[in-house]
Amino acid sequence: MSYDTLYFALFLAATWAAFALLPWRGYVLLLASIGFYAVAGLRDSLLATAVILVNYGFQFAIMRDRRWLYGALVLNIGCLAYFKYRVFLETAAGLDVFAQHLVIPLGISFYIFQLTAFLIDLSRGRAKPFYSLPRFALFKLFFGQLVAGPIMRWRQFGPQIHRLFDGTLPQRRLLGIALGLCLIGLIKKVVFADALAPFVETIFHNGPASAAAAWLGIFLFSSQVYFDFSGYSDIALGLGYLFGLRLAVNFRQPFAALTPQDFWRRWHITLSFWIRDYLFTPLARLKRSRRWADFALIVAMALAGLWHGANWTFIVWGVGWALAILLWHLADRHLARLGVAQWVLTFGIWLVLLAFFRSSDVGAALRYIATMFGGGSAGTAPLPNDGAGGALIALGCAGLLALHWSEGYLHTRRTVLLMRRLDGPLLRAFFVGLAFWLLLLPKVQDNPFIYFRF
Amino acid sequence: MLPMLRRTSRTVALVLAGLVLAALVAELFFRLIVATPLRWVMVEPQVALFGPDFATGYRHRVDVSGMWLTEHRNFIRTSNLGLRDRDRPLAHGAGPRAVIVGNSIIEAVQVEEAQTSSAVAERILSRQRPGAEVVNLGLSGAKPAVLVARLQTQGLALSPDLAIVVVDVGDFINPATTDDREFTGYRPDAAGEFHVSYGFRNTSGYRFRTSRAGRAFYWLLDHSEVARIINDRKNVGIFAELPLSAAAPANEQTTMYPADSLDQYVALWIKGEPAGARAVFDAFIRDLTAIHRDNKLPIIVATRNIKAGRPGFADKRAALIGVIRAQIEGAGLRFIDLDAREVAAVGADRDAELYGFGANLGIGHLNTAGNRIYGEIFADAIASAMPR
Repeated sequence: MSYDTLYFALFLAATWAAFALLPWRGYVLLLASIGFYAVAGLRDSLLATAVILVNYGFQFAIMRDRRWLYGALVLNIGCLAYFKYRVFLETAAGLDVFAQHLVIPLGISFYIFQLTAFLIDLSRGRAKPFYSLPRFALFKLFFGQLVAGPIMRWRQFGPQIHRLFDGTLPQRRLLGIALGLCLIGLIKKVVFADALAPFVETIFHNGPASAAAAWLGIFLFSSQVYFDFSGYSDIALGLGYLFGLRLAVNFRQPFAALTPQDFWRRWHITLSFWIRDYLFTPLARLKRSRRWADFALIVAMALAGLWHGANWTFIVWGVGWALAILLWHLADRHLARLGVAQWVLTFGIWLVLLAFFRSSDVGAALRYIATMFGGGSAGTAPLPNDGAGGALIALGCAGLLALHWSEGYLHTRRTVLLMRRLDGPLLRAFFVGLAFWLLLLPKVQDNPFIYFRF
Repeated sequence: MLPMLRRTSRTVALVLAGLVLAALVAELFFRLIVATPLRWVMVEPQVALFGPDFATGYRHRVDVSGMWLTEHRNFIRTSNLGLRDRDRPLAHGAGPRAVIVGNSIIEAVQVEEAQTSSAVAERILSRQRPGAEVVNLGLSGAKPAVLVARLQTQGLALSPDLAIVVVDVGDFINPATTDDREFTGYRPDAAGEFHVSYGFRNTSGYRFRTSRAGRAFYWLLDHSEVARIINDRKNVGIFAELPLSAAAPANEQTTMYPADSLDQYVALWIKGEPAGARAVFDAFIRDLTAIHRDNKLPIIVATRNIKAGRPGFADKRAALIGVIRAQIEGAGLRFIDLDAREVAAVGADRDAELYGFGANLGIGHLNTAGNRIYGEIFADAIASAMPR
């Protein structure tokens, strides 16, 4: 069930009404979440149920003996490897064991990572077990973050789930902000991401005919993927607030980052921190040497890349980022002197590496990058004719960046306070009304949320 | 009690005000998009081109303009005569005039008016015969009965010297061809003979569209973006994005690239199965012959959607085309095998390039190149059918 559809809006309205009227709020939300996920199909639902039940059992085993954590990790990562990476792994190994047809269960990367983080935290004494199965199930199944995150930690989300079931979670005072966030997310998705999708699709499908077309294609894709995923994340935040739950922020103006490290503190934050806390740090601590830490970074980023999809392009993308971060480690002082050029360099690295993220294979990505730097033509898609010699296209791109910058003003304390002051039936109806018109617009092209496929 | 009532009334009034304000802001937002170059990129409601018609059930309304979004963005304006055509007087000019009746392939809303096959044919013919006209009578989703009814009314009103009727042969095995609830269809009489039928005239939808309320509705569609959004949503369905709906067959108005198999066509034209579909084809030819005879109007029937240039199908295809040609020419009409002409023009390996746009090259309606090729074929056919 996609957030940018009319039927999801109706589902949400029904869930919210039941949540507001009935005393069993936690159970209402759990039932709604089960219904939400059931639309994905029986196979996906059964798998998610099995994973949740097994992890529910593992938490008690880990409480008794910490070594059970390894069993849980093997099972969780094994499950992810089987359902998401089996064809990739067997192809890489030169085998032909499984059928090539692979449908990745909806949201598997997200719920496996969240449950794994919970079990690791539990084994480290940073989380408490859920004795109630419904509470544990909602910890992972909440439809506001089930499909594409944010990947929540126990310390952020666990106590909220308990308070929700105990009836002590405040809800109503955040309604205006909740609806505002949902509206911002919808605008990002429907107005911007979906509008850019056909241009990106044409340039990548047909291949850019010139360097200008290649740069335009990659810039538009970077905007599309940002508006798409941050739009989804804004809606997720809004959905959480609607039910009195505070989810983690996943984006903080990533295109304003001055360094690669800074970028990863702003882009898909919950995944970055997951990789840092559960992969990079434990790996880096195995040996106390700078070289080993650098190696750990490369491995962690390669796996972060692989998390996005079973393709060498994602691994190259992750390794590319690791090398960029290492470059800044080595030459931080010199690069800091560059000023705005440092931002240009970081943004340029993001764009160039994004070619791996979007291309079907490494060869296609390299051809695309070669075209970006004037090394021939990777296809037939020209720079679209805007009737003004490219001036309108340049203006549009500048407009997209300006919008990105202006987003900073939306997430300030001042804006939140203003929203709370204005909150009331008029503002809420206004937000609902605007969202309604966006949802009512028929989709000319099917553009599911990009991160749903991960 | 009274303070509570007052509080509730105030809340309801504020909610209503918020919703009205949202509608106004949405209207302004979409107007801003439509009025600026943003219309080539951003989301917006699609132009509502069609209105009711007594003869065909629906047709283009006069002088309507806006963005067409499906398959390929294009700014479109219907003509003074309510056609997907340039403005022209109804009266016949000094030069010869041909009309091309067809479905969305001829209508070609995905390309600019000057790039449609009719406009291309007109330009080519005008160079040879000044004042020559080729009028586009293409209409999205037009099935055989609509083609006949359109030629009979809007076509003959233009006093043409020649008519080309482009028919998608797949339509003869399409159940919509015998359904007259939305538009003109072929329905059997008591004796089992098929005739053009106008069941749509008795539907509440048609009655509404032709009523005063209907006229107000079309006025709203032409003057309000949010009204168009509601209309678009009504057309696609409230739950169009549900996974189950997404798996449903594609919109009938979208003519997709021809299927590989000829079996259904062989069954229809060589074995005469299903009998109902064969009877519809016979009725279609009979009706066109009557128009040709009664109005002394030369008519070319141009078939499409019988894939050409596939070696494995060559014999089967030749036999099939032979049967169709014999029946059409036997009735005194002329025949063009558009698929074969298309392949002859560009080669079998490149004819997919004539269809689709952007990333969907090879799928969908004729693109600019496809319309150019069709225009050249039509110009050639018209020139040979109307000697100086």
